[in-house]
Amino acid sequence: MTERGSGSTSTSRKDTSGSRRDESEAWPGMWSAARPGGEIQPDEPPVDAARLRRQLEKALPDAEEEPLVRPAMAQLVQDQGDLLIELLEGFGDRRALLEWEQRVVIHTLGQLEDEWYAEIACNAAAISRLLGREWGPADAPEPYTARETRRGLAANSLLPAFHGALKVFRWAAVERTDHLDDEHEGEAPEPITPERQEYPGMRPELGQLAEQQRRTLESLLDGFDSEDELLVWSQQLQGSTYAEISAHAAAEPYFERPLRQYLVRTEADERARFVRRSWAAEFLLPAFNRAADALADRAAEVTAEEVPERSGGSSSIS
Amino acid sequence: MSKTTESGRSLLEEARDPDLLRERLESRTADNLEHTEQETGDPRNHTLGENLVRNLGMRRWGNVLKDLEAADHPGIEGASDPLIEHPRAFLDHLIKLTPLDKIRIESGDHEGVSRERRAVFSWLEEHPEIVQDMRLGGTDWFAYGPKGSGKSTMAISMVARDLEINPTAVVWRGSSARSEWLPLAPWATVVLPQGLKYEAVLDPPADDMDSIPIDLERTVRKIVRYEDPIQLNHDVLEEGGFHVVYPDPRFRGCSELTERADEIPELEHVSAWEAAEDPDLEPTPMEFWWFAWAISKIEYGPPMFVTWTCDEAGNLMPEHASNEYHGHHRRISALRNKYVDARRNNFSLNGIGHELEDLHHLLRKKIRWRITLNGMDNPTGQTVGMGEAPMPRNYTGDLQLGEALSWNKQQFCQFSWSDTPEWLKVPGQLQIRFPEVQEVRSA
Repeated sequence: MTERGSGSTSTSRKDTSGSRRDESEAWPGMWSAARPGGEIQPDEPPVDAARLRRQLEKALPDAEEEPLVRPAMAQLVQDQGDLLIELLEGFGDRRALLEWEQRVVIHTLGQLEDEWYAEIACNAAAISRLLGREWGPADAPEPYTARETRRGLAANSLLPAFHGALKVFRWAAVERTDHLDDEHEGEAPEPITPERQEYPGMRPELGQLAEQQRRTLESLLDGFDSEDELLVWSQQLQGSTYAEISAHAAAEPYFERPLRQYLVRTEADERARFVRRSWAAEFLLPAFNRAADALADRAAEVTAEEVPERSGGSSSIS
Repeated sequence: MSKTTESGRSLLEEARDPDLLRERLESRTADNLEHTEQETGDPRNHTLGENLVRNLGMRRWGNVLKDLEAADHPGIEGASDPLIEHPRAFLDHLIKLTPLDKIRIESGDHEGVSRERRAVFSWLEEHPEIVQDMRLGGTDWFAYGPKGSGKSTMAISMVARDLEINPTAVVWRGSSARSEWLPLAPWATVVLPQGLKYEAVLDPPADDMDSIPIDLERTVRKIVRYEDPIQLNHDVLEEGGFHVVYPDPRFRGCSELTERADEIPELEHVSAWEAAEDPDLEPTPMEFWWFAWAISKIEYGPPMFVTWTCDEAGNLMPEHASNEYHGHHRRISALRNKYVDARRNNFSLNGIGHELEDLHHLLRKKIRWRITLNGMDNPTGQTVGMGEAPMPRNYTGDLQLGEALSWNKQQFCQFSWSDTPEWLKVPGQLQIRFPEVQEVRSA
């Protein structure tokens, strides 16, 4: 349980090294196969997602049996578990990867680097390993290489970011103590089952952002029927990114004639699809990430996470 | 809690007006106090301590424990908050356990235990290594720090926690000079000696204001009377209750109980009435009643946990005490002798003072925990009665208001507490006096 990912494998936002790293040194081990000495099993059976999900379910407290005091936390943890399993399984196509990334943005509360999103959805080698097949200039990866890459991504990036998000979220999560309300003394609380909750982390604000982003992304990936639609979308874009996308980037789809021609067409033209997805990866998801980070910052104001310098902490007994 | 704005006036405004000040003091009520186990007698209800914690705006201790466990240790990779990581430093003196409680925890059968204590037990059940570190019976600490370091606020938080999770009767040392317990008045049982008229006045914060007569019945939860220390401990003190006890100027039963007690000399007590009849006698200072009371609890029971919150412990048991002054040293020494059985008899002493050295060394040696408040340097070397302090350097020197270091000879950890809610604050000191004593003395 380290404070946050540290060292060279960190992709955490809090990493202070700050410099933009080129692919080879950015995340060592990410695109390479298992580390020396690692157990490589070329004939590993396929990912048993159903079994992993059962494991996840078992680990979560049963809300029907014991009322969750912090259901929001439980919900977030469960959603994160789903995202993790999806990554381990791999993705059907690049669009599924982008849609997954959008949910990662929300469930990590912007803890990952912006570039991380562009990197794994634009780099051909990365995409081929995430999809488990040849993609663009990249050949089909060896199955165990693909598996090991996905696991590396989970361990190096996703888990530290999830951890960071929970830390931000921890104090902000509303504690459900209404069953301790003296006026309802003795009454069992209404069970809140995390899976019935509509919003990630049960926070409407976050849920709203997630939904806006999902629609924004979907519209872009589907393509627009007309130039007018594109303009209306550009306006909506500001909401789903909390104006974290630059004015230039927002206007670009319209003013860049070649780009516009790929966005405004609905037929399944492969080239158009490629451009739309790349644009989403390069501009949209990093902006989504900044928006989630901004939202988390506001939560962090309330939570005011302290890292006490002194031995002894500042452990409130109140 | 919207209570701060109930009157719509600021504390400052009210402090200037005697009528408003009295109203403020008398009208405060605790939400849902009438539904507590202490009021209804029904153990299924929440306890006065749980109610207190709620009204003070504090979180439930079970939740605090979980949060602290999830928090990081500043010095040890992968470890929890120091309060959890070093349980002997704080948890050990806060969580009071009987041998039966240890069995309850080990067996997982928490029947007959209040809700929040159950939560603590469930948590302990998952931490057998901490349970191992917890000692049974009464505990004690001496908290010291300069004026304004938040000693009283800390004491209030500790009383709330103690009552929330332990089946304890808290006894706050009532004195005519100080009333730092006043924020807790809505929960307080004021315990007065039988058969004496009393008057209650609020000494306002400003010098140019006269004392304000107070309706004590309206101000506190209830007023009860006691006959002598033994009867007080057995029949009057209530498990889970917060008591502010005022000494008996007649010292009824005090000399007798010390005479009968093992291993201590008889302590003499002279009341103002006796002194008035015999010119050779001097009345014993009223606060010396406390020695007889504490000895009585340890010697004669009952087995119930009793926590004595002793504000200004350094005044009651000063280092420079001599026998010249009403056998002061002998009384301290008698309590020390009896104190070896305090832990076993579920007697806890929470002392508060300005400096560690103010407290008489006979007692200091017996008290197992220290709390060093902000603004006072913690020791790093040899201490009186504790061997070496475990701290390698000074931690408390740069602590903020509301922070302190709790330590014993093995471990230390920092902790902090929140301010008392505004609606519970009352400027000035409440004095409870017995006019008959004044009359006898001046006669």
